[in-house]
Amino acid sequence: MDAPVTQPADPDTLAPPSSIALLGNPNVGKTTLFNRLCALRQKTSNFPGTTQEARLGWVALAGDTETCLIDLPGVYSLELDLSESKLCRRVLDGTTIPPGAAPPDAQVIVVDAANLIRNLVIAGQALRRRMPSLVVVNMIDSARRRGVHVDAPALSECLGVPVVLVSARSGEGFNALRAAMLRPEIPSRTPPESLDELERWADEVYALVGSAPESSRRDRLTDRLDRAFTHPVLGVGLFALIMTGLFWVIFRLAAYPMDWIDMIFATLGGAAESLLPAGILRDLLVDGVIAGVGATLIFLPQICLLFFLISLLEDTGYLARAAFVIDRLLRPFGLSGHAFVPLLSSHACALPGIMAARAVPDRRDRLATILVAPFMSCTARIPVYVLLTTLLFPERPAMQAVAFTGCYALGILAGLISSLVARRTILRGASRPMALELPTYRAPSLRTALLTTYDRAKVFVRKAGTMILAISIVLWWMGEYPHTEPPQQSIELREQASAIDPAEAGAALELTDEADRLEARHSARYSFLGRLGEGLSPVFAPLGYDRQLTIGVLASFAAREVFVTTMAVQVVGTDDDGEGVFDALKGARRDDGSPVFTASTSWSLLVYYVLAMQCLPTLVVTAREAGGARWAFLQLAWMCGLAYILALIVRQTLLAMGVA
Amino acid sequence: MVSQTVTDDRVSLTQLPRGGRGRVSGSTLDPKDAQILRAMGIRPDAQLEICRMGEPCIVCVQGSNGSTCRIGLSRRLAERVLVSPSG
Repeated sequence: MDAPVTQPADPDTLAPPSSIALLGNPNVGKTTLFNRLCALRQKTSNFPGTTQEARLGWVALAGDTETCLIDLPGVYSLELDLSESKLCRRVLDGTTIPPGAAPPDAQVIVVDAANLIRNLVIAGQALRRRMPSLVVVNMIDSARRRGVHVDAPALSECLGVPVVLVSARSGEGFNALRAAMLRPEIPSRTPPESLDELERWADEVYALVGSAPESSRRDRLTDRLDRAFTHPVLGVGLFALIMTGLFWVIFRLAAYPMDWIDMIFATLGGAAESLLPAGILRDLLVDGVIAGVGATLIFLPQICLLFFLISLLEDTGYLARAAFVIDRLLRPFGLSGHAFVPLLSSHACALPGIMAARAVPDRRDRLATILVAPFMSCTARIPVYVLLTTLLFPERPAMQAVAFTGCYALGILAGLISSLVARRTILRGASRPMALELPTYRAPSLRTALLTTYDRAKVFVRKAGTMILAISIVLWWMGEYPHTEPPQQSIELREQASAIDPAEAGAALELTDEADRLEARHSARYSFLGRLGEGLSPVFAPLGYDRQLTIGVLASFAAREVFVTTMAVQVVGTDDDGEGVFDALKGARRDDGSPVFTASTSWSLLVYYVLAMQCLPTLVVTAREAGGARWAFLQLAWMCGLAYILALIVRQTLLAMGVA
Repeated sequence: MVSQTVTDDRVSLTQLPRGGRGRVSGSTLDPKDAQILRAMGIRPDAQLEICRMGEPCIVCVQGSNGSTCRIGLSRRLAERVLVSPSG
């Protein structure tokens, strides 16, 4: 037998492992444990060569030396022919390592105290790899409440590695866990290889270390809740109710911080304008940087709330029930219940959604999910929805909410119908049936929800601070250059203003304001961006989009939220009284003085933004995940084609009905 | 793949009534599906109970430690899992 001799004997001089892989079944509280250990010291990236999300965290186990924790995806077995299982094997072998981490020199196997037998199978598979290991029996508190007892020393003896009992939720046992993580051991025993023997081994180990009450007491609360939540009719009704409540809370609560952010950036812009001398630097800072970043960051509260609430819901165990109940609804459209989480995630961003589609076991189901995921309204569309619904229904929050929900519904409907079409044509064939664990209901962890929110907010702010900032500056430059001579009309207005008696300063100011507006429009028209928009505007003219809107639509291809930024930069030249972004856009006018955002144009834009594929990163990920650029091209052509046709129908119908 | 008591009383999981119990005694699943279900706990000799009938159904896998683990199963899978009813 191998002796555990990899670590020095004296605990005080132990060098902690530099990198530890965290593995286990789904629903064993691995993420809660990871969060409790690493708190804010964590980041999300991807496993190289895959689009599987890799969470890395850092924890100081001894002194200042930090150990990197690699949170592996939850799997039921290390030996399955599924992408997650393969990934776990590759990380443990050291052949796939997320950027910023070293190959793991130890593994922490997390098991559920109340479900020990099944969990021991994966523990056995992991221990057979003979790397320094530690077994963590989690959720010991809830197991204890159910009368389940786990004998840690006996389990340690059976497995040949240290064992600690913890509750990641309450923090119980974490001092012992940290100490044990300093000295994981190479297993002194080797579990059997064949699955039959391994299962028998798990039964035998459990018989030696675990005890539970004789009767298998049914969980009455779970029974009752499941009866309601998974009911074919009531379950769907409750699902609709919960989702409506979720979005209602997001809107209701996000309004306040959004106002504050709007105000702060308006004040910042005003301050920069008054402090800096007129010139290119001031324009760059005020119109490019502050206006651009402000117009994006304003949506941070909604993004935070969405992730916070979804994380809470997931933690309660409800989301799995939602997937279960939605399976029935998705099946007729050629999607599985597994598609629910990817599609729900796509409501945050299509990128994680498409990546999450890896959990869909069947290839055709997965391809259908990937193809239609971007139809779900992502948070990048929220700025556009907020802008357009506010313009359509000023001061009528109830109608705004209805229109908003309508956008989400339209996206979902378009996605479902597209999936059906795909499954009847290019993705013909039967799909893999559903097998989904429904975890025990629990009170959600506020800590996990807050950490998830923090992580997502960080990613969004980083995006706003880098890519979107860069796009804002490039767009500002394209909109500002080349400089043109002011139009004759504005020169005349300025001459008139200077001729006016200083006693009538108000009248002079009006004239110079009008001259400013004329010049802004003139220079916007002859800028690089203006010319580009002009060239392409005939394509979008039937939808009611002028040059400025065409520019907005084109710029959105980098990231949809850039639309609001683009429009803000485009019209901010006319915003001379420091009002917020929305007010500036509300008053936006075309060269002929007619409003940019008429009702028919706004509706057509709204439909276009719900349906169109306008996101380069999504196309890149689709190509990679679906296994070929042809899927991305198909997605692009299908979504943009559908968006164009429906936006055209909406616009022309409204015009025919006499709506401006 | 399975198991000791191959008897004539085997029925498909979908034939059990709500609250009905049975021991897994075979399957006609394709190997990949069988592997996944087995890893999830629906393994030879496991005690199952039907918590919700229909499509999809909910099966309770009962561990010997009194724990239960609920799995939502589509009919296509459930009807290929054979059980010996155990009252």
